[in-house]
Amino acid sequence: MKTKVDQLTMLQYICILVNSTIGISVLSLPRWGATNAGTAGILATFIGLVLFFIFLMAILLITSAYPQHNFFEIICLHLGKTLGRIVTIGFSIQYVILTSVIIREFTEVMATTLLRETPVEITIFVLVLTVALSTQKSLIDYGYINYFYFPFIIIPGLLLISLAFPSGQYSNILPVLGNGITLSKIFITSIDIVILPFFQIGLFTLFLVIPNIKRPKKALKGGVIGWLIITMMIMLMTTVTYAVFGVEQIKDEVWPVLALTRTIRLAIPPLQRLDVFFILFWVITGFTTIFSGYLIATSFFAQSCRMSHTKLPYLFSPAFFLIARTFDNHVQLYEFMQQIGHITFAITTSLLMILVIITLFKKRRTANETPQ
Amino acid sequence: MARKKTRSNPKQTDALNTMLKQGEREVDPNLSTNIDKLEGFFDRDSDFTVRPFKLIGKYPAAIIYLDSIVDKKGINQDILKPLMNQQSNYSFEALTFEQIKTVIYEELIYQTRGSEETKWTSIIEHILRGYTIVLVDQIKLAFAFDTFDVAERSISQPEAEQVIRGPRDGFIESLSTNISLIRFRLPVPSLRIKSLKIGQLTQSKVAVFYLDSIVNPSLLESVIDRLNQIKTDRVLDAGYIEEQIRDAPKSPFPQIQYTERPDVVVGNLLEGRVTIIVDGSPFGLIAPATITQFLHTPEDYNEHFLISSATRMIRLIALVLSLIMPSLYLAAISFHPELIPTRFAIAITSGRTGVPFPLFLEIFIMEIAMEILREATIRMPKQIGAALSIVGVLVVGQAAVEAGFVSPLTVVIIALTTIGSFATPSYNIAIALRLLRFPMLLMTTLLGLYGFMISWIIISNHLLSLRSFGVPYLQPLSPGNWNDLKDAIIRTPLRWLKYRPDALNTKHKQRLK
Repeated sequence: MKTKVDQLTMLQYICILVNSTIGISVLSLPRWGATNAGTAGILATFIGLVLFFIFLMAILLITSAYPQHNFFEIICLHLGKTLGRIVTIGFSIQYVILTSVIIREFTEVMATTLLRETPVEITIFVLVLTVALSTQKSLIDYGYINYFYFPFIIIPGLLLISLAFPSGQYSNILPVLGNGITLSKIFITSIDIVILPFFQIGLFTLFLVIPNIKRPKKALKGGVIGWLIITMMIMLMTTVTYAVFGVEQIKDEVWPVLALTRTIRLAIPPLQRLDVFFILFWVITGFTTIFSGYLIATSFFAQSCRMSHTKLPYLFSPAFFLIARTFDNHVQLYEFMQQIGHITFAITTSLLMILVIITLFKKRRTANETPQ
Repeated sequence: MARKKTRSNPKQTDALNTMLKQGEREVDPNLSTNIDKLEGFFDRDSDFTVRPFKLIGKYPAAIIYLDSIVDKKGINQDILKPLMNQQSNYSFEALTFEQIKTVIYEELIYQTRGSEETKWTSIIEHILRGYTIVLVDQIKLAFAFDTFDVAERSISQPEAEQVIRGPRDGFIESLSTNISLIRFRLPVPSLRIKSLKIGQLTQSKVAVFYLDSIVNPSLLESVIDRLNQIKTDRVLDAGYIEEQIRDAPKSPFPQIQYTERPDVVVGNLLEGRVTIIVDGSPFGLIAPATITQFLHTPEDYNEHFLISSATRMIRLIALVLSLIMPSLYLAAISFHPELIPTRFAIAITSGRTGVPFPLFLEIFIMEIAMEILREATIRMPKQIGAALSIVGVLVVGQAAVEAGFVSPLTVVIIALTTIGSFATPSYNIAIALRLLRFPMLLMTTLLGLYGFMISWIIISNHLLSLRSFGVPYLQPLSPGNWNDLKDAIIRTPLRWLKYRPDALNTKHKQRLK
């Protein structure tokens, strides 16, 4: 029996959701929209977030039927044991790949900002080791860690937005519907955005959190609040980046939000260059997302073997390391990110759809069975 | 008259039993046989004393004690004098065995604490604890009276926890005096003092203090449980216990607070914590402890809340700076010179011209020099300590800079770091962060700001997963708690502090009924 102390509170759950979703990929986010949809990129990002919300609700619906069960148990209940195990291990592998991509993206950012001469292998190795070290801790520690880091992620983000806001130009974000772009193109762009690995990681943290939450009935409320915070942060950041740079300049930047930090300047002498300070906080942001991805991968695997994830933190580290170091540069990385994103997104969507349909049927049946 | 039964240690009992032959485990009616047996056991120890006398001038008897740990005046006045009083008109011949016992116990002797013993093991244990044993010929019984008295130092101001405004008394080595200091401040019936004996050889008395009406029973249970599980031959100070009952023995961070101040103990008891005091140690252990507690001083509650809050924040900043300052300095100069404004950069480079070492080596050398200096000053007698600090300041500070050995800015940074760690009220947490400064410095040397951030994350994650008796170490920062935040980093007005810390799960949350 879990005691009160061993369970996550709603605030911790919101923090996990927000920290896992807002990751290092936010730095490149405005570029995806700008390249494919021009000024309509802002709208596309928003539609992407709405899609994200729909997926969030789907997971909340699936878990609401079995609030005490973990991912593997839910899948087994719906699809049977053998298939359940295959699917769970499959998802574990999927998250190894997605997280490795983010690890590489993180090291690419580090390589361009902080460690220009250090080989990426070392950066990757240190990061994977740090995350593995943290994965040894229990899920409740995961909640504490995310709760603690939440302000370090939100406050610098808001600071960045408010400092960059004055240099933005209203005309840069217009027209909101884009120039000569069809609605379907905007929609495709928004799918391109929502397939980004960090959204998928944020989404699946729910499967880890909800079985351990103190009041499962509040999961929906927490999910909505979490989504609102994510949407606010991402939309503000994207809009301000568009407003400051305009579409054409965003297209030229690999990480437009990072470029945004370079434009900020305070008159106080030691703080003339703020970008490095922001990078320090981006390390935390990146860490929380990668930590969640790593935890999802190891937990799913551990669940399918019916053991605790704390026992195998180092099992996957070579896989993360090897996948993350295969890319030659960020161009290749982002190409792969789109491809793998589309595939995993299709898999996730189909699985969630099946689960939602089964859940709805089961719910109707139980509703019919209960005497009026 | 209070009679107290003392439990004997099974191991020692075994050893004694093998020494004493079968059938001789109990007191013999013959006085001289008994004395021989005890003399054999103590083997003419220099302080072992046997004083034969005639009970009310008629019956052969003897008192036995270790004269190094007894109050001789008390023995003369309250044991020997009444027992040898010839004016006494008792005639033991007419009395039964039971009646003699009662007469000696209830009518003759003036001692508050005494007992009747028949087993040798227990008699020997009593002698070793400063009791005086009275043996009477033809009586198969020994009377033990508490005459324990050893030299104690007087109550003085705690050296390690001085305050400007606050009580000046501190614990001493004697447990009973320490208990009196706590009782004096906390005259409530629900104060419980549970006594344990720990250490197979030393049999040290350990007292667990708690307020029955407040403390969380499961916390108390786990404290007692962990104390009972301690396996050691000796407990010479509170530290021996602290190490064996903490949640994560490998962590450098202290998970139990220690204090020399009775007022701190009382304050913590009232919040629902448990205090452990070992006989022979002037330190009380307070459990559970969270990180913010180590930044508090008793003065915080005496000064105005705004001032207390400000000083607490200063302490926190000092503590954090003592960990990160050298690493940040190293990262800024070696990896990210673009961070430094031009005017500063010129000053720094001119200071560094001629310094033969790379910066990280310079910092490492200075840090180690500083640690040596600190360690030396602690051990030195006060008079030499002053001379040493002058030498330290002159040699390490000025001469090293003038000789072009280190740059002035490095000296400033290292000095600030060291002072920062001394600004923390608790020595044990300051020393933990001082230690962690070195791995952090190493990581920064290798990986710059990235390495710095990674070590910061590792340290914070470690802190976030630490528990002290089940209470999260960073409570109330994470998991957050609004009520507990009122007295953590800042100190809100006392009238706002209506509730005891939530983290402790006390019986009565509200301080006032």
